[in-house]
Amino acid sequence: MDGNYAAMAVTLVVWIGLFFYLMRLDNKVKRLEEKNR
Amino acid sequence: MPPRSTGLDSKALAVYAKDMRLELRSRYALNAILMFAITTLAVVSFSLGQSGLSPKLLSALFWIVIFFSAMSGLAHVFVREEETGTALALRLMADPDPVYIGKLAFNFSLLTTMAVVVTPLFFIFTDAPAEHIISFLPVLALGVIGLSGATTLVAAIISRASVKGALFAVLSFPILMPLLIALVAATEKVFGGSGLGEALAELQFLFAYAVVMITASLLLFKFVWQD
Amino acid sequence: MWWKILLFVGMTAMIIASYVTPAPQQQIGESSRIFYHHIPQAWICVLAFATSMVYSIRYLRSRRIEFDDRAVETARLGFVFCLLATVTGSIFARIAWGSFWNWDPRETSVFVLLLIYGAYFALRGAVQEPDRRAALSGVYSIFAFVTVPFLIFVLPRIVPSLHPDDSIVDSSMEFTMGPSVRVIFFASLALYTVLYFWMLNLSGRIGRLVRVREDLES
Repeated sequence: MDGNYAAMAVTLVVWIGLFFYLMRLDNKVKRLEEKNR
Repeated sequence: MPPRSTGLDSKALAVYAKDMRLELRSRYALNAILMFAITTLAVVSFSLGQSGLSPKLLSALFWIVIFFSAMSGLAHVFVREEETGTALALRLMADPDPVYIGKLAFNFSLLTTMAVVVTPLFFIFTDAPAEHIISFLPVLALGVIGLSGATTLVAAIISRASVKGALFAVLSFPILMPLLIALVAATEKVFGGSGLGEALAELQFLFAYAVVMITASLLLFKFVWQD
Repeated sequence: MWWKILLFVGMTAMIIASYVTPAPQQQIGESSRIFYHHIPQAWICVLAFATSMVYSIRYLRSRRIEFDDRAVETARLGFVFCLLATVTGSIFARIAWGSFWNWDPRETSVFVLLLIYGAYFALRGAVQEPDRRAALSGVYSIFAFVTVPFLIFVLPRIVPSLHPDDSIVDSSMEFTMGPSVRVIFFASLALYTVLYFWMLNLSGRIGRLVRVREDLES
């Protein structure tokens, strides 16, 4: 069972990292698009 | 250069005849493909010994030899046009469809010639069960049709690329993978002595594959051929 | 904005649920939880490939280079998901069947998809002129996609005898999927799809920004 929780923690860290990276990218792209307009 | 004629058949035939004439003069593609096939076959036979190979191993070896030999020569029919600068003239003389059909027929003849030479040699060199050669012929024919049908368009694609090198095999392999798997499965059954009836599913697969690939090639060829 | 929050909460909940509920396939045990990620990844791999083919068709019809840009972007995403699906599948195969690679029909098809993507990028690298690169790689992507139905639907039917192990995957996937397993699985499928479209949208917008930049410079 402990192995499951370790795997869950790793998966969650990867997912949360990916999500915030994409959020930051999204905001950056939005800023650049507004600057171009 | 082929004369400008009206029907699709006669134009395709003209393209085919022109390629055949050029090939008979130089025999470049045929020599490459045959030498490659015979060399591979000899190496395989020499290193594995003659007898006691299982049907599974035999069928895999056979199609590996055919696949790599095909890769060594089938691109030539388009690459030659681009290299000698005759592609532009051909583009002006004929529509894409007859050009494709002519080239397909040429590649098919090339592969058939190779198969006619290599298959008996294969049976001799590896001591494959010669009594099954008759039921092996339909599999071989469908394999040759499928191989030439799927690779002629790829040959056209790479002839237009600036770096050719090993690209032909790289692009062809994933497309031929389903074909090769089905061919090996069917050949294994035939060599194992279970007859063509057992391999019916594979034969249907091979037929469907050839029809789909040639149809798709006909639809797509004009986008490769014209700029 | 709201769908991003939903995606975040949903995916987090799905990941937690996928580990605290009983394993989806009792025979295989804990490692079968990888299905919740592996199958959606494989699905995105095929979906991205199909999208790439649609953009290639649109490019060949209209000859507008932005369709080619979209086709490459989705192909890149598809390649990443394909790689993920291959790696997760291979790890699972090691645990369930004892070796990393068994050549069962499903492994074969994901491997061929990987090869097709690789060949597609190799072809793009080999053509310098942008319009010709777009046309040639577009044709190749359509032509290669035509073979995919053969791999996915027909092949498993003609070579099943070689890999009896495949039935384990089938039975756990299609027959013994309990209600809670089904909910998590389809949630995962939907969430992965949303994630894919978000990533596609982002790379498309970045691609457009790059084009604008290039136009300004030239």
